[in-house]
Amino acid sequence: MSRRITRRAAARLLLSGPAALAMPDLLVGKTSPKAPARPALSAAERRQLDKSVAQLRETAGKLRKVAVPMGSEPAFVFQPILPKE
Amino acid sequence: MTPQEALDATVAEIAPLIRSRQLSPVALAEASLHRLETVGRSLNAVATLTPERAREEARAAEQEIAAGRYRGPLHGVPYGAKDLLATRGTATGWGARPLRSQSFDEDAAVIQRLHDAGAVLVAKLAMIELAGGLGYNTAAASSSGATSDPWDRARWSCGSSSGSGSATAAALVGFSIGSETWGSILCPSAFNGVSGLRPTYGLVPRTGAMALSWTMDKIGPMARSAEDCGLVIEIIAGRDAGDPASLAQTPGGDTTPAAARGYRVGVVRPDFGKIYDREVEAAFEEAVRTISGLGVFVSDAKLPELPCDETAIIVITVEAAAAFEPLITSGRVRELVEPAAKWAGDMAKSVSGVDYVRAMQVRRLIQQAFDAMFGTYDLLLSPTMPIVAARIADKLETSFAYGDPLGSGGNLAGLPALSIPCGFSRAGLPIGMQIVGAPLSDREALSLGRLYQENTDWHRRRPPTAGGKAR
Repeated sequence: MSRRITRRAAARLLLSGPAALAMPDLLVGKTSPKAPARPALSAAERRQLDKSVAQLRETAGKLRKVAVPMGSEPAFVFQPILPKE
Repeated sequence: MTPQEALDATVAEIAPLIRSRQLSPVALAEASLHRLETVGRSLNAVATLTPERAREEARAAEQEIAAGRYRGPLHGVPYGAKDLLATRGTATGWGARPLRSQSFDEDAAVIQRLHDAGAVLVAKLAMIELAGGLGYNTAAASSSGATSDPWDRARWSCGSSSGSGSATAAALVGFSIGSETWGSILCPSAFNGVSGLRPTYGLVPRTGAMALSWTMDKIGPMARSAEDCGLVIEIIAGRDAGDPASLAQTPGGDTTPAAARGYRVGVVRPDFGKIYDREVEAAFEEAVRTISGLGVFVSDAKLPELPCDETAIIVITVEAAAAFEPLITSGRVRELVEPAAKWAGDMAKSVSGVDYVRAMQVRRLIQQAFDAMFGTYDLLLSPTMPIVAARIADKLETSFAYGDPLGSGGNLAGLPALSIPCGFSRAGLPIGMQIVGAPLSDREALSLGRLYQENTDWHRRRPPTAGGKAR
């Protein structure tokens, strides 16, 4: 398969980004009462975050360019739970 | 054969001795525990020792065998399990500092099956925190610290099944269990010079195992020969109601070396000139020549042009963020070793639901492309990793600039892959090659691996830390 993105780029993508504070609305789940407040991002971290999110979106964008026939079944697996015999 | 010598041998070699009572499971378990406590600790390969359980299972094995109730080739054999498999009565920390004391009431399905086969659990083995699910950039991203490669302690055992690879190579256990989402069985197998099988997706149930990516996680054996991988997979494979993705079908074919003669094997050659270690290239080409001289039809194969890496990144990033959501929202993700991991889960949320479904559509195309390839070839052959073991001190984004050539596509399509040693670098570091098959062709891959190992001795070499001479 082609390697349009290198492992290095992938590693950067997955590892470089303090992403959370750019998306403050995303953290809406239950939080432990003892959990410390999220530390503020430095300017450098915020730049890293912006870059990482942009790279991830670019990756998703590449997949949008692949010619996928409309109605193609995604590679999910679902099976109903059948009655026991 | 002494228990110490037995640890150095393969399961297939020691099983007859255990059966005939020339080798005591109790003595074997004690030898294994001693080596884990000494060599294993120094390699950082151990998460938790399980001495009480080991002694209990070993005594039971000894008594049953003495009474004529032999259960099969794993009976009385000590093994270690990656610390993401639940084991009753022992901590299962997933390699993560915030989960160090986590425990479960029941054994994972794989652990239960091995128990039923009479195998003896001696240790939970070290792993990268959360199997790398929230990313990592250093070998030390584990509650156990960096696991050393027994061939060179300044080198990394690879991840995320770090302890499984290191402990198996250093002959601390008879075999081990690892898991793979993208490279976590194959890379440690290659770096440590052991044989490791990533089975067909769904072949081995994940009941009781940590989830990282529900659609990509696999559990498989790591051992000192392809034959041993075959012995273990026959025990742990099979449907379990606790894992909806587990398959009811079993692989066809057989694992005998002779069965591989006449196979059509496609050789996938990456661009060695650009990105590969020349010593890896030389060892791989020599292995191809050896295989083509064994009655196997070898020809060049070209992989279709599809964005496999991008697809795998989207799928794993999103599924891992969902899998570890409680850890993220509780704030405990900040206790992980990897500084960036605390943000990676949140970063995943910049991917839309439509993007994720799109990735799964592209994944279907990738499946279909591989399916078409397996109309021409029975198996594919490629180097497992483009490099030998990286230094522990290295930044992984640099040393792993290029990965397993079939890694993303093979894992996305759920293909089985066997990594076996095929040579050594001048510095004495192992080099691995992978044999990849169509879904449920696990036995065919094992068959070719066994044929190769019948005619080579790379898998018989042991590191100095195994107690013998480096060969």
